[in-house]
Amino acid sequence: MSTGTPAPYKPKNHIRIVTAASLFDGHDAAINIMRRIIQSTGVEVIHLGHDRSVQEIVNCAIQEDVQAIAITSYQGGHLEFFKYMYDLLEERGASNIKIFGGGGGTILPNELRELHEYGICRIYTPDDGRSMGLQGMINDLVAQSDRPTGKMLTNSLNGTIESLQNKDQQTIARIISASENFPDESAEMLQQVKDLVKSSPRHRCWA
Amino acid sequence: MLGVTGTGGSGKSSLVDELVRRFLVDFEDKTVAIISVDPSRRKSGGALLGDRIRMNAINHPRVYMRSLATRQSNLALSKYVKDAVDVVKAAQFDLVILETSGIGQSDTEIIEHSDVSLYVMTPDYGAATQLEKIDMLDFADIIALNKFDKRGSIDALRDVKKQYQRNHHQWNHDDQESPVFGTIASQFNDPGINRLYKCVINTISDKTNSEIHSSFQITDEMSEKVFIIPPNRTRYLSDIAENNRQYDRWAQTQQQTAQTLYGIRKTIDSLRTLNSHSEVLPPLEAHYESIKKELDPKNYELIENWPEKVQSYKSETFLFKVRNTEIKVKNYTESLSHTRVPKISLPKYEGWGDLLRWNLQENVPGSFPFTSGVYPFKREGEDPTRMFAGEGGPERTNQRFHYVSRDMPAKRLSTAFDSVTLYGADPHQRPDIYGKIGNSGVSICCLDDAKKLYSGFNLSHSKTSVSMTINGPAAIITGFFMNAAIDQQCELYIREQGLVSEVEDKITNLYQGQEALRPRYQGDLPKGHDGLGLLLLGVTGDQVLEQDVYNDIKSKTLKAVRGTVQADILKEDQAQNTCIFSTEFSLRLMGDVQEYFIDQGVRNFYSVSISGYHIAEAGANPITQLAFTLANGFTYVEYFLSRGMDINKFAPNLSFFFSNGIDAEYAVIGRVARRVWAKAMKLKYQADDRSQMLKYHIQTSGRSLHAQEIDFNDIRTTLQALYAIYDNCNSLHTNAYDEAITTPTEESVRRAMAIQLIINKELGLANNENPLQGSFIIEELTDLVETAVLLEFDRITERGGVLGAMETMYQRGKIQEESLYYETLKHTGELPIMGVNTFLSAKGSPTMVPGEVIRATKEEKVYQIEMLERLHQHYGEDAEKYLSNLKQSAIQNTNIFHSLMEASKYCSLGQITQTMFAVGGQYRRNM
Repeated sequence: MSTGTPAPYKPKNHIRIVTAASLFDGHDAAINIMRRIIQSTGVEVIHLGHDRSVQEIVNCAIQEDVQAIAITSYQGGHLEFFKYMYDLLEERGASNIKIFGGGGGTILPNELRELHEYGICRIYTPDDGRSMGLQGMINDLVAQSDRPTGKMLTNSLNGTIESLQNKDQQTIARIISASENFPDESAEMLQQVKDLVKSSPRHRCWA
Repeated sequence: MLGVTGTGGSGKSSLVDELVRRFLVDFEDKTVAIISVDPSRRKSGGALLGDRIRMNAINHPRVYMRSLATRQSNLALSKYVKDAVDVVKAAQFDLVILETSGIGQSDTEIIEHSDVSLYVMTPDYGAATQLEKIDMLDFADIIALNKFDKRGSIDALRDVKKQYQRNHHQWNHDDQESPVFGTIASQFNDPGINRLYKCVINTISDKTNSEIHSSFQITDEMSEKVFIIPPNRTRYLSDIAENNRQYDRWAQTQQQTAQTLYGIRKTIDSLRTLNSHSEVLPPLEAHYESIKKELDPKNYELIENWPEKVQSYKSETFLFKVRNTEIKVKNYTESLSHTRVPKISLPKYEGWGDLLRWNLQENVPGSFPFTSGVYPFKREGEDPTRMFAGEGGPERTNQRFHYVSRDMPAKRLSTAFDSVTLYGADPHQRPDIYGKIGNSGVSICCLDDAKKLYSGFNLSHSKTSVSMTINGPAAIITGFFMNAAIDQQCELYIREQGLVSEVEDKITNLYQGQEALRPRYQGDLPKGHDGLGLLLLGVTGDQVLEQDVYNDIKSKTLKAVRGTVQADILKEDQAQNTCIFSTEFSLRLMGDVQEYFIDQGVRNFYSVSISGYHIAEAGANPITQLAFTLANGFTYVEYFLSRGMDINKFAPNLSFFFSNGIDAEYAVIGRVARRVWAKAMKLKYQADDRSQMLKYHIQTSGRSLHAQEIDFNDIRTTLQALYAIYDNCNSLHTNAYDEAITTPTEESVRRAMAIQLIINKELGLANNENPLQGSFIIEELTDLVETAVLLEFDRITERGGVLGAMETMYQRGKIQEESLYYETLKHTGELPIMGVNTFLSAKGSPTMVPGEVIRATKEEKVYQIEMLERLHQHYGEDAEKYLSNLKQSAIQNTNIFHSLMEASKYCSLGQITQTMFAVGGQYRRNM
């Protein structure tokens, strides 16, 4: 048992995290508890609920430009599930998105090691729950996800215009993050976006 | 750009999802971006961005979605929301949807910047004058009155239309023309949403002069709720509660009357012996006669016949009839000390009141209200022991079935499916699917899999019964099962008629040039496997036999098969989450299966196993488990009745499944269930005897097993099994002690089985079949739990019945609350659990970690995928044809199971589910 509940971690950046339960897995009690604590730790949580495929989760994570994905898996097949998620993020150029997970006793110690070695950020175990407490686990998860998003794009849109117009999801997502998190630094770039809208026959510019 | 605003809880996300789904179908190349804004919590800075959970259509290459939190501004529209909109505009999406929960001023601002604005509201805004306060009715182009199935929606639609016209100064307009639509976004292919969609697209097209021209076909229909339970029946649970309470009140007054009569009778009798006071005898007799009029003649008869009833249990054998066959049963067993232990022990009451109460509320097993059991005696040679299996491919599970049922006269096979199958999908190389093939259940995706799975067991034999734990795709798996059973009988016919080599030739012909595609049983047949069910792998009986011969065999088989398919979709939504289709469509499928069973005379296969097990496992206490489960059961009854089915034709096909924990209430769970059901069936629904009999399978609670000191778990299971057997369960599964940490091994399963066998065969008292009757505490507990269950029925009624309560997630909430209560007491130690929080070993009773667990092998997984590919290759065109028939029957509202019986011969599980998604709608997740 943990000795006292630690205080919630205070994020330095705006953090966004996707939460879900794995594919063909209806066990949503644990992820619901976790996501509530993540929310109350000051994180914006995009919750997908149960039975979500890797592709759905990765698409969502990229479109939403999150720092991390937190998944529970109680239905087996976790090795394949987490590794595939890691691979798909890498393939989509989004390996900066961290993966966290949990699956109670269904994930064996040797499997846990295998997943950590593969690059999964951390799989929490029932023992972690006992030693760290729920808030302690979430603090660890949130602290490891505490990095800025949208920063690298703050200078200008040069070079990304093409990929924006090709509807590259990552580009769109990062520009939105830039305007959300670094409005001053990205002012110039946002002006270019507006000019782009103004020159398009389809839409009216807003702001 | 389309701006969507509306109050929280009006169903905006579902509605947007439905619009997007139609847009993607309507336009093959157009793209859509959605920006969705939810409020931040001011205190923590965190936010729940929960729109995606409700959406099914957005996982599409032509869709981009971004969820934004309002952050510090707490306005729906801060600067960066506008920026975000501009970004997706710059990315040149064809349609941009901005969805916000209307907070203050921002609503109108959205409208100013949208090409078209849509306001979503519900009919429960209060009085019509309230509408004058809604700013959005001034500004929005289009109004959706969602949740149109709510009470008062027609009036609301009229009022909102009027208000809209007033606000827009359209005094001369016809009501019909104002863009206000009643919609039910939760309903598949809702006509109201169709009209709304068309209006949205046309308005956008008009206002922006864009090239968006919808070719979407719509009808002029209004949204109309397809009711599962007819509106005038939504109080069914309280009706039942009242019905049962009325019976209890009646029984009580009858008891008092009987007791008074008994007193008068005794007085008369003793006066007679006195030979004096004879003058009071005539008035006493008259009094007796007048009171007797208050006693139901049937009750008087019960009292009069009591000595005879007692006698029938006192003689050497008891005679009774089951479906016109006379059955003789010994009334006694003899102990080693030569004591004659009665199977049924009766009360020694003399007073008529007590006697009548006992007969009206308890009675002998096999008699109304069936408190002590539904059959007069336990079936001999058939212990209520089920044999569980499900791991890897069908061959491995088949071998396991043969292993666990060896030497058992009755083969009661329980099947666990892997999660791929449970969610109606096909095995696939994609890693997130691949990893789950054949894990914690067997992988079954086509008829040949089912044939192999049950091969070597004659599915039409009276001592074989199969239970299948599957819900979402239950109807499809039932199709596989029925066809497997039919083809077994075809095979027996072929062998009897000496047609084997002829049939072999036919099969070879059918696979001409495709020999490699023919499926085979992998590996050696296990001990006890006679090969039955494997001759027709890769084909069906109708491909090798004359049509009339086949039809005859089919019809006989359907009447003979015994078993259960879980198919309980209500508890899935409430507790377990393996829903795949919309709830309405799932219920329709259940109704179609049941209707088919009635038409074909399927009497021994239960179309649904109404399950409390998962409700209890999710954390519900025993009373909630029982109340929710019975409530779900009555919901199916009401639904089937509303479809015009005869209660006496379907009620005997319903069965129940409970969890048996260690709490006191579990000692009487069967007694209460049987009594509540019987009273309702007999008196509320006027159903016959067979329909009044609630049969249930029970499993010891998995939740009561702990990962510490796992040896203690068998002790818990033993006590729970004893509860169940004394309570006259119809079948029982005992969990293995290591199930809390791993997949049970042969050793642990054997021990679990021994628990049941020891109680049934060794424990002397278990030779008696009504050991709980006559105990004060058992009677009192039964009354207490029964009262609590009926009160819960009232609470569910207040929430609109089971389906209404599900909409507001009442059941889920209650289950979670009770789960938390248990966890808290366990954590503080107020609920003592040995080896967990009390009585710890010197080492502190650490959590056990399994060394190794049983998982499906690579060969098994790969073979399952190969089998599937071969099936698709062999039946390519046929499959298309049957899938399209299936679609048609769903659209034209004919019995889907009819088409499923055919489609399941040629198509895989995944093919069928995908087809049904398109015509029945996918399940929409809840938070």
